[in-house]
Amino acid sequence: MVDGKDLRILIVCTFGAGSSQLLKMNIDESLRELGVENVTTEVCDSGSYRGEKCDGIITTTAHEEMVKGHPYAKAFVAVKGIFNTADIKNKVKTLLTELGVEF
Amino acid sequence: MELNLKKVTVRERTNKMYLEKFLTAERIQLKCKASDWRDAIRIASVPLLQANDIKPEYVKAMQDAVEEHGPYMCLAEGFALSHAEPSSLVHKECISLITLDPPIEFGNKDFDPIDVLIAFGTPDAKAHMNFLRELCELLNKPDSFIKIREAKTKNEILSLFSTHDHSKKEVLIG
Repeated sequence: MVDGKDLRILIVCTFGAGSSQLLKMNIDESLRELGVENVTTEVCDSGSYRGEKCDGIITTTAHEEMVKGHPYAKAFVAVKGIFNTADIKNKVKTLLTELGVEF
Repeated sequence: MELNLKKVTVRERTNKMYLEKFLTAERIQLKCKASDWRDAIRIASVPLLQANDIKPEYVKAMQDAVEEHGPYMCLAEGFALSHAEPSSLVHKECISLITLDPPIEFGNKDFDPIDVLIAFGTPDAKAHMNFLRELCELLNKPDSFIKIREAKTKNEILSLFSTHDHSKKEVLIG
């Protein structure tokens, strides 16, 4: 928790179904393994993420540059692949560190 | 009586019940020859059309999605997950798998060429795709892709996620 609020992480993918759900499962698993609570993750598609308030964004390398223009997010990471759980965990750690979350 | 501990298997995290219900032998095709990525999606859709899981327009929707969004569905080296937005073009949640020989370019420089393609559909974004978690756990394992792409029989793929012992059944050649 930072400033007493839950952190909101957007997972930005092309569509809101399918591959994004798989990525969310793996990101949530990483957060569980790191013992992090009070961070919520939500899937958002590339068409609508801009209007969403959030603290950080996780996306795939395909959208890495696009998301950096987000008006609210303070930290961004891009994962190489949906099933590369080692890479996902490292990127989640990087994001949490940038947001000042302990784990 | 001696306990043979080597025969004790550790139960995996999920019950592995849903994927085998949806990804049946009929929905697996091996070593398919496709002329290009559109053809690959078409081939993967054949069992779903035969089972009336999807409308024919859903095949075009999956191909259009790639045109519009680029090869976003390439998710790992050699692997693509093809789908379109949830809609009434899908009658019920469904999934199929093909391996491609030779591998096909989808236009994703990180993950091309593709030799394992899974196509799936869901009528509603909020519908709980029961097989998704099992699929995720299966594909998280580093050797799953190797086993899938090298499979010469459907049994080899089915045994990756089935609760039944396929080794004693008749060999189903894909």
